[in-house]
Amino acid sequence: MKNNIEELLNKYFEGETTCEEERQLRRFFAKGLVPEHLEVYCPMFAFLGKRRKPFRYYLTYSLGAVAATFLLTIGVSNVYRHLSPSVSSYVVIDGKQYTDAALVREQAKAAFHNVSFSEEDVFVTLFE
Amino acid sequence: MELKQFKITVLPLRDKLLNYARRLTEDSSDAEDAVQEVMLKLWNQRHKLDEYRSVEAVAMTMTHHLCMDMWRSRRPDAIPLEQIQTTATTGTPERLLEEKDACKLMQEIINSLPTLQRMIIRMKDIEEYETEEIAEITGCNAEAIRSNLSRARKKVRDIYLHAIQERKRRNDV
Amino acid sequence: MMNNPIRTTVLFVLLLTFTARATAQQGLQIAAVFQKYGKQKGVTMVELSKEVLDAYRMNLYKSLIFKDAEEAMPTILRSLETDKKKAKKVKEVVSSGQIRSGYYQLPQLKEDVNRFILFKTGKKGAATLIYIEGELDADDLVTMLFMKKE
Repeated sequence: MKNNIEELLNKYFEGETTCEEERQLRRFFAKGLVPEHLEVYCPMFAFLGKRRKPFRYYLTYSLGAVAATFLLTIGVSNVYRHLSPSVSSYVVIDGKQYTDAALVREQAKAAFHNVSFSEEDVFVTLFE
Repeated sequence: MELKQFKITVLPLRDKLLNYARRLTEDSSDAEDAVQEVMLKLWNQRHKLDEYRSVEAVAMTMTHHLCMDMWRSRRPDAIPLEQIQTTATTGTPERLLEEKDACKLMQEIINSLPTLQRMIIRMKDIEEYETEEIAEITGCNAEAIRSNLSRARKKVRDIYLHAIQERKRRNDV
Repeated sequence: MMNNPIRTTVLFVLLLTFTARATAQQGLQIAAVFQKYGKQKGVTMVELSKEVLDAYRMNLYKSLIFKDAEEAMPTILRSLETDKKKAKKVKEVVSSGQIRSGYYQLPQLKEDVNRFILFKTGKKGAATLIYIEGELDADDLVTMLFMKKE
């Protein structure tokens, strides 16, 4: 068993193990009966074992989905505003300030849309 | 967009991207890495690729940016001094020494890897893709993926071992 | 024991939220443009807070839309010119000597806080200026900026 593990470890660092062999390694290091000279690897495999789900998987949204997210989160931020007045979203139109969530969202979207790439920009970026 | 669709719409772009990357980086292994990274980034965004008018334009722009970054980093004199200093300090054991929690230390180390290595280690060790699957997605050969994976894992190991040794040494003093 | 990372994260997020304001647009000339024109007639200014923006990995989003930017244009261009000198990446479309659109990536405010200025002129003298700050990188932003299918 022990030799087998050391062999697997070498393969692991060469990038040659299969997912099944990696699961075997994680199980071994999770069991706790780890020889002293291999103990240093415990945290590495414990960490990877804990992260079965992607740990930094950021969802990026399409502009269409933006609306839903804005609406949802603005609800939260309205509550939040009472706690900390300085961090809320707002829009100022012709000098008048509004905090209506839908309006803020619409205006933010409009501005972002204005600066989005046109065909011309793409062309310039690619062939400069 | 799933693998089958991805293979039809995205993979055929590979040669074009590679040619473009080669011209920009003037180095075929840099170009190969750049295209690997772009392909993985596109894979990570596969669910929204349908929204773009031209996946090709997105892919070309990503390749362009990446190659320009590589080109810049190979010419140290082109980078402002403050930037060199920040890159030099990220991921060094010095900052990691303070991290008591082993898991958070591991997280920090993985975060400090170059993007391509971080993406490959995440796919293999966390999302459990086989090397062959990653090769299939990127259109690279499995050997190129294996070598980047090995480099990433060894780097994680070395930084980790160095960090705990250094900490032990300080505690002994 | 298990709670510790969570607690740290919560504290960290709170800290970020409260410091976001203080560091926004630090040392940038365009801050003055927002200040000067944000509340004028014919101008729409939006500021979004961190919690609205989390999903985009942004801490701050500020935009100005000018219906007619003729009067403000010299100030805007001068500010962009100054901020551009510090920029890490500059991408501009210039026609007949005037900037039509500009994308600028500024040096990081601190680790993991990237800063971007986006500027574009529109029809009939309209112009839009946006400032974005956050963890997102240039690739993320570029991807977002691609025109979507109708």
